[in-house]
Amino acid sequence: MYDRVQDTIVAVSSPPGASARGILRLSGSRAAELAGMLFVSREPPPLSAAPGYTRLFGSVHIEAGMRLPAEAYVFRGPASYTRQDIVELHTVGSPVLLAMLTDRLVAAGARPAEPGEFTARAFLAGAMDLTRVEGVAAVIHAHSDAQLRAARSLLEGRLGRIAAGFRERLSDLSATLEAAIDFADEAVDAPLGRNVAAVLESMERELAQLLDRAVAAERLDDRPRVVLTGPPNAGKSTLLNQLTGQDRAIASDQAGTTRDVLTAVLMLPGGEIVLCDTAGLGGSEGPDDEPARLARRAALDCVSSADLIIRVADIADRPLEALTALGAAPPGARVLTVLNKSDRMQDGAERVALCARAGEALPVSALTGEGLDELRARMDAVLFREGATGARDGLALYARHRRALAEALDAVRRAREALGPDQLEIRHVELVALEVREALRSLSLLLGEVTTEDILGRIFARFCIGK
Amino acid sequence: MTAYEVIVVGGGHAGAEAAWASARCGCATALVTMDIQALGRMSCNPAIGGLGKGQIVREIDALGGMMALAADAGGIQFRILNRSKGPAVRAPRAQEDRVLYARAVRDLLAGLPALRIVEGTVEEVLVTGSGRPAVAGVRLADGRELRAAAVILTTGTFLSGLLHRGPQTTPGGRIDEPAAGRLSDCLRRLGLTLGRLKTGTPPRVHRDSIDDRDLQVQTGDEPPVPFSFLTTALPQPQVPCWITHTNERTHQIIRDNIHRAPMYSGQIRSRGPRYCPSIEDKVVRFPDKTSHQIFLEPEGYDTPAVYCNGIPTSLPIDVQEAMVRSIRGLERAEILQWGYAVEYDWIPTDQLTATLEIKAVDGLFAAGQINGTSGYEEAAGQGLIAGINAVASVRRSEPLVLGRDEAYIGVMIDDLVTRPPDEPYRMFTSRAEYRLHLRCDNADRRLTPLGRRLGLVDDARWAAFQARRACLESLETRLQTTRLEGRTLVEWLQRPGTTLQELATRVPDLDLRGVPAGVIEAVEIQARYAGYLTRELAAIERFRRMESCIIPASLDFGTLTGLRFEAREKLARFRPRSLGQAARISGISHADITTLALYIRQP
Repeated sequence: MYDRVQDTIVAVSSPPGASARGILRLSGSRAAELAGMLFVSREPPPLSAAPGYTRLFGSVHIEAGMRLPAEAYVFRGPASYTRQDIVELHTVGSPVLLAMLTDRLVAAGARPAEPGEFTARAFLAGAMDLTRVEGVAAVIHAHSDAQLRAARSLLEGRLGRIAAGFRERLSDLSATLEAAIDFADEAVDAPLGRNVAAVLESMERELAQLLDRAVAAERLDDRPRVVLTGPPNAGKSTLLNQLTGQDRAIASDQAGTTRDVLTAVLMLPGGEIVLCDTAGLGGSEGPDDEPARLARRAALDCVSSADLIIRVADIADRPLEALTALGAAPPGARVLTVLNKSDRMQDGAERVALCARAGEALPVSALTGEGLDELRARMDAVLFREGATGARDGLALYARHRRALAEALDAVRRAREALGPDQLEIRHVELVALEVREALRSLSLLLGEVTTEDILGRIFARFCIGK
Repeated sequence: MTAYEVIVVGGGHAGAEAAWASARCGCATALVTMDIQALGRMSCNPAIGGLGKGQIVREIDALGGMMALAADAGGIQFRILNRSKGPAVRAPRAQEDRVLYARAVRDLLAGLPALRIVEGTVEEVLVTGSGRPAVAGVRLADGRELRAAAVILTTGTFLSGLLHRGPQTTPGGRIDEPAAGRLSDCLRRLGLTLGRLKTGTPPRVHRDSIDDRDLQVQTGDEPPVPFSFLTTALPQPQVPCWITHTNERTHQIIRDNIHRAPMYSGQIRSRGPRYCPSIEDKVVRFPDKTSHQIFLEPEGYDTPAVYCNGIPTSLPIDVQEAMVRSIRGLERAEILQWGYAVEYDWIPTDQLTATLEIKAVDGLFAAGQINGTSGYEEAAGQGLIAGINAVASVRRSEPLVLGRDEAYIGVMIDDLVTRPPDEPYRMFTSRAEYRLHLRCDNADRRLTPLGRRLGLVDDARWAAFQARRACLESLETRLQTTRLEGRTLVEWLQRPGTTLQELATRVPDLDLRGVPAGVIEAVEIQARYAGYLTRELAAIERFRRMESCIIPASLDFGTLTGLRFEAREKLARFRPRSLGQAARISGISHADITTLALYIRQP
């Protein structure tokens, strides 16, 4: 797509599905001309002649006799997101209508935009740096609120600000070391080993902390995984089918029916999740052959990587013992307990007592649907309302960011080693300087380069040089 | 009308080196100077070398240039700077006897049969052809015309030079030497844009008027280390320098008279070097500093002049006198020459290619201060390259561009043509990305084979180089194969504090008798940096990949409409040779390079 930046591109830029307002966006030199073929302005100017930052009221003409009210927003390059002319047509949010409009624009000479192409153009035009581009891309592909938060944080340049802070301090350190090398015979005070050591030590600590707390942004792209686990024949597969409204899993009365880990996507108010059904664990029923052992191991692996574990037991079949047999949940894992087949226990008092003893367990019936809404609400609360994906404190970082920061951290560590124990004089200042330069180079991958001129500028601003 | 192949305009450090290179390559060369007596003259401080600069001198020497030979002949105090730091950032520096240095330059040039020295003032560069003109020669003020297919301009501070001292301004290139004004007009007519830069020089005092009783003395190294790989001994006696300082009273005198300083009265508007500020600049910009260091450097054995290094100034004479006499040791100083500032024309370096040829005129080259640099060494380094490439242009052979990974000279020229300086450009080791590779001790291994191919390295230098290289390599092999207590000797050398001499006392096979000290040092350095050098090599490989993405010379940047307008305009102006060089142009972003790469990769 990078080599075709001259094409005028078009795409529906409102969310998929029906909505009150649908938006078509065009970018390129012919944006106003092409949109002007469909849009009739209520009063002058016509769309094709409208200046930047104008909103026009009028209508779109879909075919003879069919017109709908619409607004056109005109942005002229370079004062636009892509630095090219951009036109947005806002009209009724019908997917069918938007598709028809797109088709007509393509017939007139526009090209359907590829995913992320508007942002790519903004990047190629130098309108934004890479960290912001990734932020935009992440917003587009966000599957859930948590991801959206993380992505917005990147977009607003939180990473940019943090990395710029590191770069600032490294640049100052570099200036100190370079001044000690290049102006040795002039009246520049030699940097003391302990001062340099203190700066490096705090940089190492902070970089390590940032990386420690950072959440993998790619991981956020994976929707939260919710794993159903429990003894064989607790009704996990039926529960999955009921929750997702599909017959995804084969359910039967036979213990050990489920061998593979089955997954299905479930839409919750906060976003999409992936629900996993696993082979039964901890029970003595069912076969004990090799496939069954493999199935149990797959189930355990699945549990260990879950964002949320739903422990399922049969309310009428010694549920407390069955839950105990599942063993402890992995440390830090979030767990919901449900007692299934509530339709088989009519005694309200006994249910309440059992549920309480099973640790705030929720009685459900995969058969009748009892308690399933409550289960959905609880999953939503744990996964999305409590910010459970971890994007709250740590910064969500993409692999590229993590690698650059990790390289900077390594270089800072090597700089500390090269510094040695001498507190008064830095014996191999050129090696310390080399590592600090490497750390700067790694950060420059995120933020753009630090030039020698930048460093020299710092030297001349701080030291009185020149004999 | 006389015909040459190459004409060099100017006889300073750039001009001398350019003429040397051209004539050594066998080209009929004329060096035109306004005053034959001024050949090789040191306009400012009587010293050669220093950090970054000393490396350039060694590189010039390794390529077969002349500066190191002259500096060894004229040196009166030799020191290796940064001795307490790692060997990669050490560099030689020497105080020079002005007269002996200039004489050495004259003698070296006189030994070149292909070189004619012509006294005269160049007023015009003659060109032929329509469209992009080609150089045809030069016309002198007296009407003489010299013909040549290549001309190298090394005008220093003479191009429309204007001297400032207090409110008084005098046209001139140096003190008591006239400026060259007409040439500026000629260059403008050829389509060049000229800029204006400023530099300054301090007062000189009479040695006998200095009271040195309380002054700190700085002496040279014993034994002194020469610049040239060819110099085996420096028999001349070494002279000491003194160190003194400005004080509160000095600063008060300057503050009281700051309105009379051309830099602050508005009389001088052009930029001076930040790394070599005038004393008035230091006092204004660093008001908290109550004292600044001054080196009192003798200008030679037989001259009474002492250079006051640290107080360049263009203040009026009465203020200079009061200021100097407020300084300890200089209370009764007799001032032999007053400080002054000089403004001069330069050619902003986006108008140059990396061969130092001016883009607008075929066969016209520029080197030295006219390209916005300061310093004798920077000038000489460019002079050598301009000389080599003028020869290449006349002979239609491959031009020479040194990479940032090959030499400080390469770093300097690449800096100039990708980021034109906004102040006189000086070399620093911090400008070099691959500082551990670009060392003084290995300049010959880096560049002498290249100098030999170019025809600059004569048989004597080549033989000396081969002997040194053989000695080095055999010692390196022995260190890799000889073991002591289970470790190779290379591994021993990597332990802090271990020296080769010390190992020789423990390993009977390791006989260092007859091995030159320079070779021992080079081997130790190579062993100590081994791990770092390997890493730097990996970085150099990455660098070379970008440098080898050549941008076709025929590419019309104006048609790359996917690029931002500013990027298109910059690329069209600078015309980078490679993607790597394009990326270094100021104002070119990562995104521009991505886009440019996509265009280049398109069939």
